[in-house]
Amino acid sequence: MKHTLPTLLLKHHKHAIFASMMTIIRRACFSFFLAAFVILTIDESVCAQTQEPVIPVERFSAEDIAKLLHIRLLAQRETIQPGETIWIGIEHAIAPGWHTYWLNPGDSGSATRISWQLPEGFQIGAINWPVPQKIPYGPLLNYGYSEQVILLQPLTSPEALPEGPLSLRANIDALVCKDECIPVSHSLDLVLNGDNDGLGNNELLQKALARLPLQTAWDVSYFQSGPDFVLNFPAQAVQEIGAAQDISFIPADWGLISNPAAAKVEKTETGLRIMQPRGERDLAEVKTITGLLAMKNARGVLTGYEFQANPDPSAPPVTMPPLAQDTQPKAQPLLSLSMAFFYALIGGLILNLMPCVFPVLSLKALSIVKNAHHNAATARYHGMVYTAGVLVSFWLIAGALIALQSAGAQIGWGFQLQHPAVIALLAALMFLVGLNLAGFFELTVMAGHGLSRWIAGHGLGASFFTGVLAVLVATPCTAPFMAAALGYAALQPPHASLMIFTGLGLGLALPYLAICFIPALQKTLPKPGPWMEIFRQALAFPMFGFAAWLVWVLAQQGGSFAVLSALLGLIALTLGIWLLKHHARVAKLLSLMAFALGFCLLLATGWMGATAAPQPDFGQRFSPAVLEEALQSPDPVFVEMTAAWCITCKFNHATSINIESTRALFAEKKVRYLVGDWTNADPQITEFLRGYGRNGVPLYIVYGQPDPATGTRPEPVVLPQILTPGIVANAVE
Amino acid sequence: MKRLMMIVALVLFNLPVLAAPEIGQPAPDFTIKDIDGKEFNLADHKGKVIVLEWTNHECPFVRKHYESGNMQKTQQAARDQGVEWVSIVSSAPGRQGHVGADEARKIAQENKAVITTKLLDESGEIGKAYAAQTTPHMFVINKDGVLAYMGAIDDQPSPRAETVEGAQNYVLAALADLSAGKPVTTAQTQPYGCAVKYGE
Repeated sequence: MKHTLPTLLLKHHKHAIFASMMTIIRRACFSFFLAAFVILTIDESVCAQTQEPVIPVERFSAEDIAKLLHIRLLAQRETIQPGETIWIGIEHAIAPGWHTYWLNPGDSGSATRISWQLPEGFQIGAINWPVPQKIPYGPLLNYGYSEQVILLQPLTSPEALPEGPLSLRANIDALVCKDECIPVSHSLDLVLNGDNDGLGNNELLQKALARLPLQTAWDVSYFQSGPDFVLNFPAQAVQEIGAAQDISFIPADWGLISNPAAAKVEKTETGLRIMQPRGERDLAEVKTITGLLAMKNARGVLTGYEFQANPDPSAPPVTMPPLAQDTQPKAQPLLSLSMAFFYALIGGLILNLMPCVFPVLSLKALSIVKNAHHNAATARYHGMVYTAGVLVSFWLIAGALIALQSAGAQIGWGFQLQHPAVIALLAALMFLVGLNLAGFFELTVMAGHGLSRWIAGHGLGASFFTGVLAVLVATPCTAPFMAAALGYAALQPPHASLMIFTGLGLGLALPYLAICFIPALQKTLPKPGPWMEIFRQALAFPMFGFAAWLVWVLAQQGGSFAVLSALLGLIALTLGIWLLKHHARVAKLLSLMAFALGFCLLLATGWMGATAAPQPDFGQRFSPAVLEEALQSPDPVFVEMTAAWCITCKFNHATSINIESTRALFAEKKVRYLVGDWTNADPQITEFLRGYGRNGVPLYIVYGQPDPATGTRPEPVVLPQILTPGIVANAVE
Repeated sequence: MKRLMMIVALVLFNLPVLAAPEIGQPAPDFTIKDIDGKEFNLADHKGKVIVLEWTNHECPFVRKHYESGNMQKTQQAARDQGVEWVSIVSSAPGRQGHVGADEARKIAQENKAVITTKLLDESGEIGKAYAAQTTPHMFVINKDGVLAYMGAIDDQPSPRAETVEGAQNYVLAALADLSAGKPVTTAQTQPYGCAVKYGE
């Protein structure tokens, strides 16, 4: 993906539309788009993780395979006394993106097998497996390890230990997989009591021991409840695990649960309950099971508790679980593709009315007014080129979204605005367009074909890039109809995502397409005249306003230095344009330098570093732990997901939440009010949004008060994306 | 707006990603053109025992069973009992194991596979209906169209050819139970092998 974005632009560049002399301004503009997309694609170190083409196994030489999986034998100490037990480690160093498997590999794969050839009298115990990760693969889920893992086996020497060096041989069969699987067979030797220093790898093995699950003697029971597999953990378990996140069940036995399905984890009166859709196995044939209760502990480290569970046939069936806490949101939305397309189309239409898009589109209307009086065919052509501009940009965003998601990045709608440099460049673009509209400079006079042709002018290129610009500036406003469609798109295969984005694009382009194609509509447009110049100048002010707002967003993302850098960048660009007005050769040279400096300053904001999310004006800052804690309380919980660049969010907050009546109501009802700020990328918030099938902000969730009799909460309520004080009050009451 | 809220509510419900079929229940029906362009409808084959074999010729586990001749031996034994054998490729286009009809036929010929037919399930629809996870993943359907066995081909989850010798072949065991008119003793095992390469 990272190559195709700039290439696409280059193609357009070569197209007849742009077949005019290269100017400095054009280069600058081109580098703006190029830079914006390069930043989008290179950040988050996506490059290393993109999917590789399928390579048949034969293409892997022994050397290649050694790079994918390197296995070492480690001893706690390289000397052993008679009758002593030491740890032996089998280390896997795994190439990025590849993985090896746990004891239960999950839906596919196979566990590492090790057989030993030992000197007489030696004994080796079973493999101790560190807590595995969950590795999703399409609709499947595997349990295994990435990067590095050390499997551990205890080795016991006999009382009658012979003198001299002892050689142990391990025959290891491992499977290392990414898109394809490569079996790796190794025979490795380990010498004990030899002439080496005897120190061994105690430190590494101690670290590996810390990754083993903790053994428990918990009294855990399991049973089947309709389509679900249910585990009941005692209060002791709740005490021992303490504050933890992402609690899930990892079965050592196969077929108990549908591995990739979402689990519901909840605290009960007697302890903890986990419900997950059951697996393919008939539980009547299963007796005692073994598994891990895996979680991220208070420090965010993956830990696990190993337990055994026995069937509890007397357990009553569990009714609809009261509180859904998805540990792994893998929702398969029921929105059909055609419906999602329809909603995307409506969403796109609504985008036209958004405060941030409207000024840009007014420019377009202006140029249509001019064109309408030339001839109908040209108007139609402009309409189509504009639509193409909109669609191409939506496809680029969809492409980036798909590429990032396939690389495992946690992103969502508006993600392109989470990068300070993109915000800064967008602010610069708005500012320059504003200067042009206000009459500070006329590009046509200066360079023959310039920026005006791109955006503020009336060439075909202008139509195309007005479309591009409309998409770029539309992103802060996730219109209500778009949320479900985008949430749907994010969970769908690429072709479905593309269709959603196509729907959005067509919706956005539709009104102007209609004006261009239906002459009757053109007649309703006002006649050209001197008013157009005044209107054009007036439009400069919304552009400046928009630039000011973007700089405010930048302040929250990159702090005051980013703002300074961006503002100096704007001044440098303005200086560059001013210098261009003078025809002296030295002025041209200086202006080139000013432009270069300006873009450097704007891009530099990307390196200013993200600032911490600001403290909400009231309520608590959202985190999964805080939410979990709040849900344990007897009070209602209100979660608001917002971002500085989201105008809808700010509007809702100012008109329905941060007002006297709502504050009073929250105080009266003891509402726990949590605010998640998504101005900068935050995987925890992205995860939460995905849990509700969403991919953008705003999102408002209300968890009602628990039923005093059962202590369980009703289903959480998702509020509409446009709030009124009444909606908030109703939801809380 | 009400309609939209309903859809949002629907989005919130989670469905299992792959709903596995149940032993003792009718096997999910399907119709698809086979590699020779003939329509294959599972329901038309009632009255015969059917083995479904998920395959991917580039997967090391599949290769273990074909290169050692174990799969062909199992297929021949099934044919001798009048059992139909259907190989299914659920690899999506561009992913490992995806083949066109000509290549699929060539692979079957080169392997000397003893199969009734081979199906190319590019969309993964059949694979997902059966919750096929691995290659190989085996399903045995009895004469009444009821699922009698699902899981691994044998009890040796390893890609090494040496493990074929002396392995317990679950498919042959299931076929033997069926032909003796008994319920299948081991009706379910954990499948092993490469993940089925479904489209994203």
